[in-house]
Amino acid sequence: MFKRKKSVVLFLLPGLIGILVFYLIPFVGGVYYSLTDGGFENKFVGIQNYVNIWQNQMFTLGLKNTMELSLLCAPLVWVVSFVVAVLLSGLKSSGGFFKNAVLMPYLMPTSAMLLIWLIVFDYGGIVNRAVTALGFDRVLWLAGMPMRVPVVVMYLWKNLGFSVIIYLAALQSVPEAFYEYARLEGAGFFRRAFSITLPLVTPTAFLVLVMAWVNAFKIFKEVYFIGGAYPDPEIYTLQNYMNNMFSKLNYQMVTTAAYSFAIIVMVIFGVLFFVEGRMRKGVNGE
Amino acid sequence: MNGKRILALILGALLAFGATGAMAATGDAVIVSRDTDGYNISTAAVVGEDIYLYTWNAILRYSLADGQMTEYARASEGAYLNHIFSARGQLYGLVEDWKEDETIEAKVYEIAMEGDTYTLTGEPIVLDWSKMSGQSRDGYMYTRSYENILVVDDFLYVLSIDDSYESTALMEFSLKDGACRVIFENSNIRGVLPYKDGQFLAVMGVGEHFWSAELALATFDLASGATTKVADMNIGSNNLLGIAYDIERDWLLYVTGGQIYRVEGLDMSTARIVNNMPILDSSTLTSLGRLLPGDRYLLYDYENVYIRNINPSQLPERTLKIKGYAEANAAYRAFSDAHPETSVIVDNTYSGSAGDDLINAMMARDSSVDVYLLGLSSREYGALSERGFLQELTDPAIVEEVGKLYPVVQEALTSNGKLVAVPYEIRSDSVFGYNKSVLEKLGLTEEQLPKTWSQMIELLARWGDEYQTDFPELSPLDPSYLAEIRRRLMNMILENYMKGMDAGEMRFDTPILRDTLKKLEEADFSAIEIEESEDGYSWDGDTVLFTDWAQVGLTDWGSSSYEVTWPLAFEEGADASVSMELNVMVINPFSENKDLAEEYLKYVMQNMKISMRTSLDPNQNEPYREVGYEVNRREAQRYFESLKKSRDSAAEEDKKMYDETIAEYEKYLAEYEDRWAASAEDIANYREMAKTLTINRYSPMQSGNEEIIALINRFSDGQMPVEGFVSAMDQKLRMMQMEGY
Amino acid sequence: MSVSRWKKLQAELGTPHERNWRRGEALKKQRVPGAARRGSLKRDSLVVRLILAVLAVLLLAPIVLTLFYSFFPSGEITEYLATRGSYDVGKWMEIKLSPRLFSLRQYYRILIEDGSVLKLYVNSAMYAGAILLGQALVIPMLAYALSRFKFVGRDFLFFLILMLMLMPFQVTMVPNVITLRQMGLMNTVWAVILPMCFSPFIIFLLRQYMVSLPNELIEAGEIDGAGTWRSFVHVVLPVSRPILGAAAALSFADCWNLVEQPLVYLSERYDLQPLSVMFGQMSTDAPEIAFAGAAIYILPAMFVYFFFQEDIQMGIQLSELK
Repeated sequence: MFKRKKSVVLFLLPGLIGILVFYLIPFVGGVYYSLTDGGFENKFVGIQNYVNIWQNQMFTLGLKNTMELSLLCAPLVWVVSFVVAVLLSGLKSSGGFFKNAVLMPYLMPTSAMLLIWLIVFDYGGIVNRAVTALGFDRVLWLAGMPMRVPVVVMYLWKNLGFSVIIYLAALQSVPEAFYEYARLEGAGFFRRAFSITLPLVTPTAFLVLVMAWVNAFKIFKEVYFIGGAYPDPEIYTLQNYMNNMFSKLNYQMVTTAAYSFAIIVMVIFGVLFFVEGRMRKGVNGE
Repeated sequence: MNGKRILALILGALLAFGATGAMAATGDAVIVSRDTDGYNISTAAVVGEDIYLYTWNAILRYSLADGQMTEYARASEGAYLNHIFSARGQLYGLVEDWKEDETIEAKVYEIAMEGDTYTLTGEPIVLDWSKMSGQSRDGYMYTRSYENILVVDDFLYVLSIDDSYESTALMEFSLKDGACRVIFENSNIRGVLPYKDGQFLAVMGVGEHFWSAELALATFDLASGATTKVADMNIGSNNLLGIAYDIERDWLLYVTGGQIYRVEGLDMSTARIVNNMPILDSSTLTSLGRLLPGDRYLLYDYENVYIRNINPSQLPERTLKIKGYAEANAAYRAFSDAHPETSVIVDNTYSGSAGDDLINAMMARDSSVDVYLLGLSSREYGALSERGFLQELTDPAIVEEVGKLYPVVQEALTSNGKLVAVPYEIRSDSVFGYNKSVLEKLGLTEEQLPKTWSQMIELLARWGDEYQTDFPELSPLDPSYLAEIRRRLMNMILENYMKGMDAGEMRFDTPILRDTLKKLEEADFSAIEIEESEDGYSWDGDTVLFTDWAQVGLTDWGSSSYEVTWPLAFEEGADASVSMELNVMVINPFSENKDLAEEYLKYVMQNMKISMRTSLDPNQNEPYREVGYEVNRREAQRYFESLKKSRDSAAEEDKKMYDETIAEYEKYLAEYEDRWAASAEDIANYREMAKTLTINRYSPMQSGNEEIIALINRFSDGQMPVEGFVSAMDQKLRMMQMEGY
Repeated sequence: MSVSRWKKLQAELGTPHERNWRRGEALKKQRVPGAARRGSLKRDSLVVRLILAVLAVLLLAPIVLTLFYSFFPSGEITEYLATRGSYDVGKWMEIKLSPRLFSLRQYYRILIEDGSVLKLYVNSAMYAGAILLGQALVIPMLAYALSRFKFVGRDFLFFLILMLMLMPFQVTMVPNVITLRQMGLMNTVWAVILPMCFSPFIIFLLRQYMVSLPNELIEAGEIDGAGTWRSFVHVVLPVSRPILGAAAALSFADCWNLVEQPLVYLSERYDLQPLSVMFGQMSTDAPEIAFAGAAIYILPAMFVYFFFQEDIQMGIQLSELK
């Protein structure tokens, strides 16, 4: 038993120290900043910073946009990747080329691809050519509300593959008999996919949603590359707020915003995990 | 401005007489200082108890024994030197002669003092200078610059650098036959010193760049060429200056962060501070310090020569630490003289963006620095002011002195109604100016010049049709600007517009800005076609009507006679606003020496440079001369005398030529009386302009902001209408303001 | 411990590689459906293929375009980009796929003539290398401990790691900056490297895989007296090859895409920045360099992907992500 204990320490220690030093201790230690005024006397102000920040229009704007963008991105990736995964899993060949094509963008550095996106979404660019071909007027993609489209597209392009691969892994363990049965019943593709396949891979679907959401919260890179520190108010994200306050050296507000957001993230995922747990129980109970 | 400054310094380097040096109790002294004595220092050499300083025109001898300074003027034109050094207990001068085939002949002479002049004596040793020139990458010939001049036995050693700072070579010249040997070539070597047993000590940069911050100490064997690393210097990103080695006691001395350190036996763990050294850190190579008899140490920069006691037992009890890039000027000297009990440490290590560090230091209630130097418009000052991290100044003398300044300046020095800063440096922003001679050539008068930006745009648009055919050689603006004239104008207009405004009240959607931009949008500049000269830089003072770098403020060295400052307004009849950049000193609120710090700031206020005092204080209207005026004038007079002497002894056929020169010089000397860095008229003009003076404050909307540049470019390239532009600017501004600080 | 017994056990279980291979084969078999399915899917397979082909073209187009544009000569690409941002409804940007003049000049410039891009490239490679090495040293052990050992607070620790994984960089930015500064690491390469070595996402990924390893496999090794360490090195690591490969690839993607960390942690050290943060600036200054730089920048990412593609798929398939 002693030997075992020693090895626990041996295995755990290096990683644990790193996590503690570079993640947990700073994270907990930072709370202090969010509770003081950062002035000469560095007074303890309780939750005053939190009260202030929730009254700051830019913070709430950033939060709203971040939430909206992630609510747009995450479900989109969730659904599209599922459809693609089902299509891929139905192929008789291995579909290696398609898998590569889907996953490749995940490894591409966002910044290196930026110019291409700017060309594609230019006012006279290829996307607007398609738009006019469909009989609509050109859209100014790089300003205002429409700017969300390139941001979402860039996100989708990059993150689709990873979700597809996770789905594929799950789909391959679905017994063949289910499909056969469904086909005999005469169910169509989407019927089959969503009412038979999806429930069978619920835990995976949940994980994909979580991952997609997490990555959607990290959408800042795309926004920053297109819009800079002060992009159009429609795509000004919470990370813009935090980065800008950071460059104004206002650590109080950065940490306050960070913890406010962390709490929201925890609540959202707490609820999601709870729901998933209930669903899993329900499935098992049948 | 830089060019002008250098010019002024070279002019200022035209000669001299006896300087004064106060010796404090510990033996610390500033023996020469440019802003009081008017000298620039080229090199120093120590012979016995005498310190020789070469000022480009004269040699000063400072006697350590009695503290007396004697000046030896250059006896003849031929006695111009590049450097002086001591060898075999004798003073030598190094002269670089440019020969007709563009090569350099380097000669070493003995220097002799006779009466109040110095002369070069004897047959020179001609040094083999062939290895000092090289070919740069683009094919030009260059000569290597060199520093770190030292002599060991019969050899002169210098460190020379190529034009791209990629190779530093230690070169050895024989003082017998002038033979040259490249001993060592390395991109990282920063300084060398003689060490014991035929070895050298070398300061090396660790890493691949010349500029790499980490420095290490190595020994270098002259015979075998082997280097052995001895220790890391561990001085972080600070620069290293003034290295010196005492062979007898095995002491290494060096200066970093404004203090002198002493190390015993090359063991860095023994490093201890022995005194302060407020030298300006601006050299590429590590400069050499000199050890003097009686535990003293000499180090100099371009403007000041310092002697410091290096016996730590005599260190003053108290220290006052000042951080920021500043010269140790009159205030420093006056304070030091009045407070021998206090050692003033001026840490002028340049640190890029010290902002985060500063805020961190404040949050950690750090008291290690007493006085900070900051730009008033910097992000750091903005943050400190916003959060009340600035100590209020209550000393009546400071309050009184500040009370004399322009109200806008007083206002800028306060934060939340409290006086918190004193100015120590001033820079006026550049504005438009016109060239008098070009104006005359065009047959125009000042009345016909544009007074507003709109009129300027109109003039530029008309230029092609109106003036180009008649005056093809003249250009309205620097020809290199014309290629992207719209962007250039746009930048100038916006910068000028924003400068005059308080960040909190700033708006872009105003009729005056909209009208001006509309003009710019509609103007057609295509008719202007100025041929650029072959080298691409065709700027020539007498062909360009407008410059955009004219100065508003008054300077130490005066303004040029042909350029007239001509700031533009936004509206007809309105005054053009002019702005200034202030660098200030503030006291760390956590300092444990607040009393001393405030005392220091009092000296800063009381010893303000005359140019700055006149710029900031509306009641200071005395005309003043440039720094070193007396020295220059004396030198000119002396040269005049020598010309006359030469004439008398010249051959008959040359006399006429001499007479012409003498007549010209006489006129020049006569004009000397009217040479003012700021004449009464200059000051009156300035007072007129200063009616709309503003001091730059921190604003997130500064023109360097990336997004603003993008917007400006979109507008200038015709991709954005005026309305779109101003509303986009206002939107960004609102976002910045709403975020808060 | 007895070497012979260990060998015997290995023979019974097969070598780790064999076992792994067997697992893989089993999965491949699963993937190949029965004859009936093959027949019935034949018809819609064409449609499916068409849809997927269109999707693949759309997804690959930006990458292919970048490669194409990297061969445009400086003048042409600058001219082309200058047509961007015109708000004239009558004008379109051309759809350019090939240059008038095929140019390698910009490659020559960044690879041979001017070292500055290459220097940033080397920085990027250094970060990727150092971070991957650090992760390899620390994370497998930690993940193994989290998946196999029972100790107080294990689930809580895992929960914390999960939560950290969910947080955007900006949430921990300020506290991290303060900590790193106190440790004197700000504006050194370590500020970027060290925190990344403990990436919560990679820990999570490996942990989920190791949880799914059959207990018998590890217990057999330990009962045998092989000791925890040896069984970790000789049994666990080899069978974890797919997820290690997958983690390496995914982690490489992160390292190759570093933007926020260098901008914040290395704000004063221009010379230490990786190439990924510099594209924005290059694209305005010298677009041909930006495209050529982007092209050489995405190449390693492609190699890494192709090298690990099997692992990525298999690693994720075998772990408890589903």
